[in-house]
Amino acid sequence: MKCNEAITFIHEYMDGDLDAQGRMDLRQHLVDCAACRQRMDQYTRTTALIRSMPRSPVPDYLVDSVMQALPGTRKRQVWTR
Amino acid sequence: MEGLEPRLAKLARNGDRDAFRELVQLYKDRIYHLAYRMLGNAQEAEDVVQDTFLRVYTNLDRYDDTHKFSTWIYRIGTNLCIDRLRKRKSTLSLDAESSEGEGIDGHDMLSSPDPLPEQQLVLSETQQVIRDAIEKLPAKYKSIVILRYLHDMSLQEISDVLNMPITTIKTRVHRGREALRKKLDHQHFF
Repeated sequence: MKCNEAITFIHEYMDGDLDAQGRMDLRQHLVDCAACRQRMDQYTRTTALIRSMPRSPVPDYLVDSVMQALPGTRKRQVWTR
Repeated sequence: MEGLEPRLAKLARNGDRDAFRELVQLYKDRIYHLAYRMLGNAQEAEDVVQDTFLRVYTNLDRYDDTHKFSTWIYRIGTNLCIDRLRKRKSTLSLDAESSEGEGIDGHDMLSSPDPLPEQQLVLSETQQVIRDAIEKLPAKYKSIVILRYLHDMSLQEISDVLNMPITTIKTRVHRGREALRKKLDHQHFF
C-alpha cells in the first residue's frame, strides 16, 4: 500500500468507515511506515483537542428573549376558534 | 411511539407556547454553541439562536415529523450561520457605516472572535490555537468539523443536516481534519 492510499484509509478508519480487509491492510502498512503512524497520531490528537474545547456559557435570558420575539398568535389558532 | 420533539412541535403548531418553550429549552444550548463556534462571536450567536427559533416557529406547519426534529433545527441554524459568514465575506471591503446598527462599520461587524466569554473560561494556549485554527477554516469545512466533533454527529447525520451527499461530507471531513492538522503542525504543536 502506498502512503497516499494509507492516508485515505486512516481517514476512513477514523470515521468508522473502513471494512475489515481495509483495517488489516492499514494495520500492516502502519507497522512498516513510521511517517503514516505519525500522521495518524496527529489526526487522533487533533480530533481529541477539538472535542475537548470548552463550551462558552449560554446567556440565562436566552429562552425568555426567544419567546418574547415570537409573533403573538399563530394562524392555526384562528382556525380553531 | 412518537418522540418528544415531534409531540412538542405538534402542540406548538396548535398554539401551545409552553410546548414551544420546551423546544427552546431543549435546543438553545446546542444552537448557541454551534453558532458561537461558527461565528466566533457571542452577540451573533445569540442572534442566530433568535433567528433559528423564529424560523422554526413560523414554519412549524412545514415540519415533517417523520424526520428528526434535531436534523431540521440544525439545518436551519447551520444555514443561518453560513449566510452570515457569506455576508461578512461580501462586506469585507466595507468602510461605510452599516445600515443595521448605529455607528457600526464593516470592520466592527467583521470583528475577530469575541474574547470575553472565553476569557472567562480561561482557554489554555492549546485551546486558543485550536479555536483559531477552527475559526480560520473555510465555511464548508468549518460547519462539518463543528457538527462532527463538537456535536458528535455521524457522517450520515451531517449529510441529512446539510442536505448533501454523504460522499461530499466524507471528503470534507477528511480535508477539514487535514487542514487542522496542518495548522497545528505549522505552529509546531506536535
